Amino acid sequence: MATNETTVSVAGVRVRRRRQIAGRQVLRHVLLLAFALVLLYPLIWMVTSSLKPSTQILADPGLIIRDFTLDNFRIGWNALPRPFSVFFVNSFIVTIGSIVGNVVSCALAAYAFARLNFRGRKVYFGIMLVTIMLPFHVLIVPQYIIFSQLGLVNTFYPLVAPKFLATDAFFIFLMVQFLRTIPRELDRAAWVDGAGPFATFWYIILPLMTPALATCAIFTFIWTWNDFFSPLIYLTATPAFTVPVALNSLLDSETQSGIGYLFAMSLLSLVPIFIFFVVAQKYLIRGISTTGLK
Amino acid sequence: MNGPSRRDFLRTNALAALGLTALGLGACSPVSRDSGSSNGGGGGGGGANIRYGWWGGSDRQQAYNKALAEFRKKFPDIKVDPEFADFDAFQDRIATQMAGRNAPDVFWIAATSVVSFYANGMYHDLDGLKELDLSDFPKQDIEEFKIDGKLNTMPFASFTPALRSNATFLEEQGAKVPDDENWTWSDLSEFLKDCQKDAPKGRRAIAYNANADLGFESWLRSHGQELWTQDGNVGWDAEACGEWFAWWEDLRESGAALTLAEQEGVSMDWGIVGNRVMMSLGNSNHLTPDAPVFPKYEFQLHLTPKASAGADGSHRYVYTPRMAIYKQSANPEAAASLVNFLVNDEVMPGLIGTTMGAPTNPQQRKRTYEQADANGKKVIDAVDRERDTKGRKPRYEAPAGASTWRTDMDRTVEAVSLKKTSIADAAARMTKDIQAAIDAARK
Amino acid sequence: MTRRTGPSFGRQGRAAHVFLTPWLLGMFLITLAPLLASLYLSFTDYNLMSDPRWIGLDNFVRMGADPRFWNAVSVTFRYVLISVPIQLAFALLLALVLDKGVRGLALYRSAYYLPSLLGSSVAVAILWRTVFGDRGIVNAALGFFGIEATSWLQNPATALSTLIILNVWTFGSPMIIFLAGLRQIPQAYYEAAQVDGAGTWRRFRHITVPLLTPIVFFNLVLQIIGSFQAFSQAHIISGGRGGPVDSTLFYTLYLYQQGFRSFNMGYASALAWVLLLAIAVITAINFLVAKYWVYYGDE
Repeated sequence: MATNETTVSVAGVRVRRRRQIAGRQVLRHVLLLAFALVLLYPLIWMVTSSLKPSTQILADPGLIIRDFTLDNFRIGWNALPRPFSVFFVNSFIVTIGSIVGNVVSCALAAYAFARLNFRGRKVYFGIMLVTIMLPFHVLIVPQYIIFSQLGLVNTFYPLVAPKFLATDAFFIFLMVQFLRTIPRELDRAAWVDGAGPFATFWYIILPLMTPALATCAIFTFIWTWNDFFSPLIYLTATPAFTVPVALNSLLDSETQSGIGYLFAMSLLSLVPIFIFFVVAQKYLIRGISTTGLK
Repeated sequence: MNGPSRRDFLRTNALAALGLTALGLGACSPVSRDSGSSNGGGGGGGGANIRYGWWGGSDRQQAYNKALAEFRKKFPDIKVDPEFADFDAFQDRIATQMAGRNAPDVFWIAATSVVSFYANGMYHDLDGLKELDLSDFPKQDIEEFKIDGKLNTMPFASFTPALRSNATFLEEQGAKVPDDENWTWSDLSEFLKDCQKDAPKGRRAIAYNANADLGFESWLRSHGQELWTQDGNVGWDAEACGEWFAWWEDLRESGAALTLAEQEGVSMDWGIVGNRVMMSLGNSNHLTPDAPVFPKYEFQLHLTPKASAGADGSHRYVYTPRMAIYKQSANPEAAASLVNFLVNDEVMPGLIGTTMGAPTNPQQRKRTYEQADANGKKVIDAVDRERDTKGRKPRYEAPAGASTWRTDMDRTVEAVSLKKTSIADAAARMTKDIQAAIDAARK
Repeated sequence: MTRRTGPSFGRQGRAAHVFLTPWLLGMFLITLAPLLASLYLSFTDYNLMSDPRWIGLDNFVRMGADPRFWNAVSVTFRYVLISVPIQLAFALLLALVLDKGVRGLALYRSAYYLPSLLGSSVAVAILWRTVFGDRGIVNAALGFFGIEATSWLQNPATALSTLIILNVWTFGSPMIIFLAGLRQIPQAYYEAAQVDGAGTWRRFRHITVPLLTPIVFFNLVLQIIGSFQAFSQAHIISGGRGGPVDSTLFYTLYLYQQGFRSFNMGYASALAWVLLLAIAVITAINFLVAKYWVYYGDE
């Protein structure tokens, strides 16, 4: 950029450049902020609505709060037979279990697919892709039959155990693609030094995969935290509800009563994912660029 | 490898270990820990474990949970696991559970699934279960409850199609609802158009309720037809169906009914419609949760009209939601105790109120009425008025294969109201498609 | 692969199977049986309650004459063709902007990601109505300019567009993947290029673009697969119906209606396998074409 500026004095170029850069920075921030506001309008509306009496939310839509109240949070927390703390704990157990399961099992499989030569690799890889392609709705019934035959309905196993067996093939594919951006010289060098596949994976590949692992953790958190259908089917009793199932049972679809509670509790349910995201995104930027590969 | 990344890695490992421990602790069931077995093993120990499935919103969930707690006091040996969900989610779940042969021991049945479940042998016969005491029920009623001559489902509540008026609005403009005992559909239509003339800006005489299933059935019956025939077929012809659509379209075109855009869809959403319309057509029991949404207004319920002024009341009917005991229940006796408690026990009226309309048990209906507030009394009155009509024709449940007739209806109402097809074509297509689905399920 | 360095082929194979053990177990124990079951069911009449009855190819024949099937195909194709490119372009553009050391980067990144966190919560239906409904913010804004409009959600001509916008609104996920991919590119490459005197554009063109192609490819493949299977948002916004007049009846929504509402799980399974075949063909084409534009650092 700015390679043609040879006509004025060196100092002049510098000043102009600095101004240009500052101006550009301000413009960039204005644009980014404006864009953020447009994006976040629905959420802002949800926040202000949750602070209104339930009956005013739809009758008087708008960002202005006339009668401020925390009732939606206070009463909503206890609107179901169990307080929401129970559902949050359930969601945490399922979510943390799923994250650990996905990160571990998918990283292992991805390494094999991306870096090791073995017979049937292409076939396996194809099968793995196929499992991503079949719509979930036709699998749920046979899967339910398996887990209910095993007597595991109303336990967390049907939701968590599959993650330890890398059934979320999406993440294997994600990690394979990430691994393939990492130059092979790195692990070749380790191999030349006499390290086997396990040592290479453990000491070389895994640390380099941090952004991919963080991505996997973030997505698993969000998807598991928001997942509705599986917990609905497998965790049927109220004390076993996860947050989305509890949220769904707040709102009567026939009469639409309970919107205030729904908004308030939905917002609370965003808090853990948001915090997790803010924390985990730090690891997104720790690729090769910052681990200081020398 | 340098220092920091290995430290990171160790930290990751520690985190993983922590997660695994958490999993180990949490992996046991949050339910079965205090109940032994979640599949209703019961058996040996004398105590039984059963599951109860029902739907609704948070209020109904709370109310029935309190009822289950009362049940627990009376039957300390029987543990009931609640299985609650909102209506749509409940249907998805129970379909899956039926496929897995793992349905709740006692469950509510959606109107469109009653016969479907029966045809597939999902119900336990209620006749032989001595725990279920039906002595409060008139013989006539029990006969009406039967399907195929067998008592295999238990109707536990009743409601009716009803016109709901916002008395506050009507009073404001000095309108008075005509006598509903003998009014006709055209009387109603004229009344609504009259109301619209004096209406303030933004207010309409009626919501666009052309997809109201009970209202449609009422229209058909008043025109000498029925929703479903005794032998399980479509009980109406395309002409009557088309006239129904035309009745609504006429109101909309004259400005007396909301448009689908104004009410954000075919299905009326009370939260956004309630303060904009003078009347609406729907289920009588919905007054219970709907009225508190707009506490400033007073509401009244009215009978649905007749086809002609001189007609008798034989078209009137009462809809009764049903529950059943699962065929493969390991504890049918315990399940029957629960059903008995839900339909007969004295504490129920105080806990449940009129969220599902009026109880089918006359004694319970009386108790509920005594404890109900003004709106609750209106809900029960509405049922009583229909019930008291002499010479009501019987009504039959939706046959297997008709489980999606209401979504077909929604789609047709949209097509008609958005002028995508002519009314005659739409009515003919809908009638034909619903019959075809019934025929296909019979194969 | 011309020369083999490191562990022998056999040793690699054994190691691979150790690494793949969890996945193989999951495959055989959890995924494969339901997969095959659904394949079997696609040749049967199965109402979830009584035993499946073999009817051969009837389900597949039936699709040909099913107008709602063809409508669902058309809705889904339109959705994929429009929403995938827009969403990816958005995500890539913002990832590139945000990657360039903007102050407050973490804040923007979080803000832009927030919509994706909402997922498919029931609240989304109400939110979208306050934006695109009859009395929503969009109409309020148009009204300011004297333009009158009715609900965008209830108009069959615009309902699908509101869902496309909803999908684009949640561009956070691909953006995150792009950002992670950008950070994965070894800084050493840029340093080396700078030493060689390459400018910003050339570094972008010759380092960023090629090294990001595997991630672009990944996002593309996944977004296409995901959009063909799009379900939750349409399900919530239309209350499970795909209305008005089937204008948002996505393929999987129709499949779900058939399976869980009409109790035609046999037909639903057949629909699923047709979808799988379609996605597989498109993905295979994607992989074939990828040879010409995706650059792998490991080759």
